[in-house]
Amino acid sequence: MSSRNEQITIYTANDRRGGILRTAVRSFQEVWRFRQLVWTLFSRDFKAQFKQSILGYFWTVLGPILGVFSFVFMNYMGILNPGKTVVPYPLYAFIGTSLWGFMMGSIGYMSSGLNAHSELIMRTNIPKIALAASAFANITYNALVSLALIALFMVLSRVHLGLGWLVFPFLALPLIVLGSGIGLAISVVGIIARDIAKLVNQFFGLMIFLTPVFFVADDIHNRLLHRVIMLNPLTYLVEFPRSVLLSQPSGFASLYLAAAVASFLIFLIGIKVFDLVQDLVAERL
Amino acid sequence: MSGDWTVRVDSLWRKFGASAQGALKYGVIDAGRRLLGRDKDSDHLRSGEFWALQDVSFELHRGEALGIMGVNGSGKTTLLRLLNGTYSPDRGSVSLRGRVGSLIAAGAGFSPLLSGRENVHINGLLLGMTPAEIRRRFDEIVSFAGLEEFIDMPVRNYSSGMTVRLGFSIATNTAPDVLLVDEVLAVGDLAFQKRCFDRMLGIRRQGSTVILVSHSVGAVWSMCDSGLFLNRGISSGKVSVEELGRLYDLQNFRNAAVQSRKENQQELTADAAFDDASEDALASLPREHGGNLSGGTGDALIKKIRVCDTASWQDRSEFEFGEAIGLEMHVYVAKPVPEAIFRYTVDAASYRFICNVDSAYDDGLGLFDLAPGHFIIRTTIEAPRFTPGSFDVNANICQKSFEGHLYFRHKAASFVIRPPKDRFFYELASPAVVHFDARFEVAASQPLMAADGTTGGSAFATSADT
Repeated sequence: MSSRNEQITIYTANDRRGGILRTAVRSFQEVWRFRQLVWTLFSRDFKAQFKQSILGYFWTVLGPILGVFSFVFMNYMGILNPGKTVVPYPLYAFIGTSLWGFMMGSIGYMSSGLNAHSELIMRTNIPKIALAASAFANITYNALVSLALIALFMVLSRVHLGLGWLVFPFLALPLIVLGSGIGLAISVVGIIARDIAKLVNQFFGLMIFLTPVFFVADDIHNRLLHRVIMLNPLTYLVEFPRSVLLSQPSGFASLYLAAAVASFLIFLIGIKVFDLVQDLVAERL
Repeated sequence: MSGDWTVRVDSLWRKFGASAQGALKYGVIDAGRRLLGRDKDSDHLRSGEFWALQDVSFELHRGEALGIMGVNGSGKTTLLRLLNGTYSPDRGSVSLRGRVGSLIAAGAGFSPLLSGRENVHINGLLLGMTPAEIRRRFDEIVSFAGLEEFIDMPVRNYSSGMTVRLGFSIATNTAPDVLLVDEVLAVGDLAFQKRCFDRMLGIRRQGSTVILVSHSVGAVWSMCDSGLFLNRGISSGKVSVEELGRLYDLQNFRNAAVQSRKENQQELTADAAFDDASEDALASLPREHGGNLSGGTGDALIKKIRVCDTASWQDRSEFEFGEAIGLEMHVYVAKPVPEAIFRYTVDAASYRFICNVDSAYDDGLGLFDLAPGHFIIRTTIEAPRFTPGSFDVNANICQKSFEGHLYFRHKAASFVIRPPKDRFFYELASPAVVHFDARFEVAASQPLMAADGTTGGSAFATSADT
């Protein structure tokens, strides 16, 4: 009997308290404790997702390519005038949509994580943060696919693939962190009020037009629009990593840094929101 | 730590919104309060909310098994979910020591497209096992579930019995300190159910605490050593399993009686119009009871049947086992009725006309000559032998000289016999409705006959017939 686990679990009405950093540390500890499970849940869903599709794993490659296709198509038709890009437009847009995809993917996977695991919430006692964190595996996987595709397209476009490509993932990290923070908050609040996720998606659907994802910011001649774009912190989170990747000089380093710090703060807030509200979601699933 | 409890529930309260819209509104408000650093609003009921659990407390120790019973909507599942940490309390606390294995639904988290083998791995992790533990116990899990040949087949192709067997086998193999079981034992064939019970007793002997939610008095009686009865969120506290069975059965009997009243007896109010019934109305009554709850020739009318206390003749709907029951018949006689006979029959839940209470026989052919007017007839059933349950009363008025009913009214009233405190009617689950006291004694031992016709045990042969 000495091997028995003596850990005591106590549930009360308003369990979770403590500052933002303590909450974050505790959350990371819980995820780490259940890392095996997080990984297994990811591989389970990953395998299940592709077992029944004809194209199988090829879908993860096809997704990002289809994402950029519409912009390239519009560009070739002359509907879209993105400005003067330093590399061929398809590559420029692909890097932009990949970066944007990091953030949107993080929001999407994180925010739907709890809903997707509603059965486990109701029937097991796995910490909810661990269930939500299983989305990180998805996010990481998709990011790796995007990175490989970017390298491939750069080589095909005869663009120099250098040190920038190695630094690029780290520079893209704030977008993932920002998206995860927003996603974590939506994942709990969105279960209580279902339309929150829709609102946020609509919001970012508009934001892509105010962020130089598939166009060049400096070639926007409307002064008001240009000013809004330059006020948008997402601009720097997209612009700076792309400049570094393409070995272009960028004057945005300090603004990028500020936006990156803000992203991490939003991530911490997202964890805190998640922690504060998580025990209210089970009855709304 | 003080005490050696494994589960401690301390004045637990939990409320819910009755409507989806209210739940949305209050969910948003509570989430808002939390985000502003305040507690959720859990002290009082807001409009549209109800208490699903009220002030539930109990404590369990190593090796103990608690059965939780209650009719649908009594709060069992809510309590189990609070114990599992799915819902958070509104007031009070739940404390658990050690690893909690939950069989809230065996096979929760099974992925239909993956094989049984992969699912054992995933489910083991979900229940808190380490990969090494899962590998060590894998063969035992599979063999207990009896799925050796099918373990590499996708779970999608399993039967529901196979799924539950595998889920149960995993959960009980995690060596939980506390095991929460929700009615899963009803699935699976008899042989597997037997093995489940053996397994549950086994893990109790190893010191695990078991909490079993069930609708089966028999299952709880054989598995548990104490019980908790829930009725609309109010708990009985920890009671003996016999008491739990009593409380649960009584609740079911009461509900059955209420249901019967609702379905059959509203006609009484409709018939109240017959109070001073016209000739036409009386003449148009249905003559025989082909599906009709009341009818007759119209010469007389049973306006009301009351079930009463035999001392005070006040309304009463519940009686102890064997206690005298009073019946009061309110009659309106339209035409003179010589040689009238009053008769009751009683229906049990699943049988009709289980007994007869008849003025002609029971009163030694006392026949009543009735003139037009209103009468009240009181009957005392002296020592009824109804087993605990819910019963309906049928009443009719006949006449010695007429083969048929002057008036009949079926399911005119109902009463409940409470499960007795001094004896345990385990046959409650069986459909018997009448009980006779009896003595059992071993009068003589007969030796068993061997297959060749000679007597077997000689030790018995000498004592027989001496």
